[in-house]
Amino acid sequence: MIRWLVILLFVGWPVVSQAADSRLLESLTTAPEALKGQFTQVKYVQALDARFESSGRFDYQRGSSIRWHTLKPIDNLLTLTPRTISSQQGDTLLSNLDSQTNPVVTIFSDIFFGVMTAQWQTLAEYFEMDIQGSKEHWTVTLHPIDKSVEQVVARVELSGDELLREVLLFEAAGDQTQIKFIELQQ
Amino acid sequence: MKITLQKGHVVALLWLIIVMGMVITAIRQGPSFDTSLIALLPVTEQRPEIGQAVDKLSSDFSGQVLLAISAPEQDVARKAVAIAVKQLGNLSDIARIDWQLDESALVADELYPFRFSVLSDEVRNRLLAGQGKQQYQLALQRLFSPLSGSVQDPIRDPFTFYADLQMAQQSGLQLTLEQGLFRLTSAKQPSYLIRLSLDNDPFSLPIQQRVLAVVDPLDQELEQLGAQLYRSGLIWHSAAGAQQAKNEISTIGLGSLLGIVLLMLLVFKRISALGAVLLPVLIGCLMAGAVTLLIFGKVHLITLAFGAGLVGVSVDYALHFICERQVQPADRVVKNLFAGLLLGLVSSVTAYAALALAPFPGLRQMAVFSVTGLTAAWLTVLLWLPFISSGKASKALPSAALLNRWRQSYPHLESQPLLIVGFILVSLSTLVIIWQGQSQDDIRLLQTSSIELLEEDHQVQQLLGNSSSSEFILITGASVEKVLQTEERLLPALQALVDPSGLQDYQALSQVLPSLQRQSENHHLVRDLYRQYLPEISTVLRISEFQRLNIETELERGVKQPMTPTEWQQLQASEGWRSLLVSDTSGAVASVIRLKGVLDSDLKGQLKLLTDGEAGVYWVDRVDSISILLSDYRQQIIQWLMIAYGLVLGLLAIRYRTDLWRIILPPLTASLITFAALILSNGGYNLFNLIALMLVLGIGLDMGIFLYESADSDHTWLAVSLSAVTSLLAFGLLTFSKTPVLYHFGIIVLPGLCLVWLIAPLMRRLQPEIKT
Repeated sequence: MIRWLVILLFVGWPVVSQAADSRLLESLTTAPEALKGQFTQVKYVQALDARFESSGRFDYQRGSSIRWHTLKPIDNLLTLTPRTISSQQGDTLLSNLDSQTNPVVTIFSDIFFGVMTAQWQTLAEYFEMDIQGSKEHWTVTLHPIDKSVEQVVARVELSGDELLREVLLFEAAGDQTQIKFIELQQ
Repeated sequence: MKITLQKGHVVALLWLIIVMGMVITAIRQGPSFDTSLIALLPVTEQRPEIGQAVDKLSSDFSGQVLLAISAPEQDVARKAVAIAVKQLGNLSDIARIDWQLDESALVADELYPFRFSVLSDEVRNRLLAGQGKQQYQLALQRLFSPLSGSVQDPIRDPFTFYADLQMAQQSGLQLTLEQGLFRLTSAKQPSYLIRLSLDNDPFSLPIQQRVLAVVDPLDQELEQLGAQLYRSGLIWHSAAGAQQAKNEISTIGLGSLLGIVLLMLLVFKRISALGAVLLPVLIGCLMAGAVTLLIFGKVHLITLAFGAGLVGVSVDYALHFICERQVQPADRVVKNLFAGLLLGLVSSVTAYAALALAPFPGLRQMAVFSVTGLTAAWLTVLLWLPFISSGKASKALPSAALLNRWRQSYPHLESQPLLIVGFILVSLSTLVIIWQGQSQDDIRLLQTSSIELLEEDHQVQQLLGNSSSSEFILITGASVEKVLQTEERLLPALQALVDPSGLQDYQALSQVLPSLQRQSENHHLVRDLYRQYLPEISTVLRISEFQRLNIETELERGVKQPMTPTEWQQLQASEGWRSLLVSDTSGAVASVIRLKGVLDSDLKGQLKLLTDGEAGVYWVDRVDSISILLSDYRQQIIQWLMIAYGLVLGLLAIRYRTDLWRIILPPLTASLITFAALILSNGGYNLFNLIALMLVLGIGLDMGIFLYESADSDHTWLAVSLSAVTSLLAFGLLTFSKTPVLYHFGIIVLPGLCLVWLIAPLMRRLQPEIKT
């Protein structure tokens, strides 16, 4: 009964030794209560051997919501709260997932919130962190602690100055996503 | 004379061999006790598929031991889990211990080949509603989403059906993994789950002892740490039942045994008499237990309770023998007593054997136990006691004379018109009370577990969000395909009943294994979507002509691979779902839809209505049926009590003719008065009160028969009185039992037998025949 469901779950392992790292990180970057700006994204899809560019707006309220609004080439609004992930195209609600009933969604939104709002403590539950650079220009590389998280994301590279400026996501199947943040307003 | 004695020796020896043979065979099989309610359910009660489905669901559950460990602080709770796992390691030879994720068990994407055959409900409904565009948009959104969470393969799955399927595969259990441990998500404080899967029968006493020897000290160790341990599983109830039985045997059982021993020593003033009284009882119990175990495999607690009742009846035979033996030599005793003993045995055996005709396995077990025990005790008295108490007659007992003097002061019923009127009045008023008496068929009667244990179990189950195994929908059909199709017709109506405050969720086989018919429908829906939106998505994704051919080849390959039930059963994803499928040897198939939530009677009515509309679909409510069962048992017992009285009456009428009333009236009036008094004081009666009345009948009849057969001799009166007192010691003390069944038994037997004993002398003949 339990085993089959476990297969569907992603596992998080907070590692106590990471606590020092995350304190260092918190001194490196500030995570504003609220932030908005624009993004450009390039996604490399291995199966097609092609790159897809997209761009749009985003904003977040720390700990309560993130809105990720892709404007080009499609219009899509992804809204995340700690409990739900919903996807909207125009007025049509495409999907609405509840993290209470779906543990996958919980981990998803944990990672998304963690990356976007610099919640290093949360990220430390899923990843080992490698920090390089200075306060003016830093890079943090995240390696999943657990194999099942690796199925979602194989490696994450974050870089920035006082704010997060760039995210690189490497997926296990070979897909890569590069996101750049511009015109950030606190 | 010598020859008959030798013959007697041979027969006695033969009996010894039979007894030893039976007991040894039973011991080799291993004693096993059953407290489960299911064991009491009649075989023919419902359709056999229902029984099989229940068996499958409960066998999945019965070997499982769930431990929830909880503490206010997360690190304390996790430390407690580590300690528990270490200690539980001692049980690794008898149980599998699951407490952390076994990563080697992960099989990635085993459902991927079936992405076109098994569609999530959401996708299917979307496509059915002609909203293929949404699926197309969703696929694009996933592609452009910063974190897709699933493999993006626009060649093999451009519309991301597999991502939807993955999302739909969620658990009904409120569990999540936290750093490798199973955390119970609905618990207020950090709580983790450990599961033991026992390889052996949880009813086995050695297994119980091994598990308890590890878990009990662990419980204390964790408490010192500041963590709590909560238990769930059949084994705890079974162990608690065994413990309670042990306690009560050592208090009530020992108390009554001591009382009987003292009484015997006081009356007979020699140890050998004591042995002669206890030996037949012992042999009777051993044989009854052995035969029941060999026939049924397990002895039910309720049979044991009733079996204890045997002591009171079978002790009569020995008592009569010894009391007569005081004044006569052994061979004369056998000759004189034979008619009475035989009638006593035949009447009791008839009464109990009638139980075996009822279609209830519980009653059958009791019948087998009683008939075997009585016969064995009877044979022991006749075959062995003459050799044990050989020698000359001892002298008359002073206590016999004393009791007889007291009895002589009793009036005769037939010479006292006033007494007759009184008797009639009392009997009539008891009949009125009994007529108005309410039955109580409360399920709590059958529960031997303490309320604390039930609460604890319930708590763990609730934290887990486990669905009920006692209420479910059963779907039967000629093949798996038929059953799945019926389920698919039924589910939309069931889905409409889903409500957070009532039916929260359900688990149905067709959710994970669609019928082949539905899979083929799904293929059509997928093809339509490809036809409509593949050109569009190809443009957006700048897909080449060559890649498009590949996409179409992948689709053809996919639709050629439906998920068959056999294939599905090989998948890891089917674990936890396989128990929903029940098939029997004849090829008939049934599936179970499990329900989660609070099902009130209103909702149950709706579910019943829902299932009544479909042929071969049944609403099964075990709790309800147990109440119905108790009431059925009760009605059956009343019938059999009547039949038993009728049979015994007919049998005795042949011998006693007009004097029949002298024998039948004491147990009958005693039963009526006791029963009426019970109804007045308890506000109702139940099954076990009625079973106890059978015992009052059995012992009461024996009294009457022996008194009559021995022409009311003073030594028979002594034997009868001793038998009444020993029965009172044996059962009267059951009134102090904490086990509801035993208590309800004692509360009838205690006053019932007292009354029989007090009434019997009234019925004696005016001028006793002169003894021959």
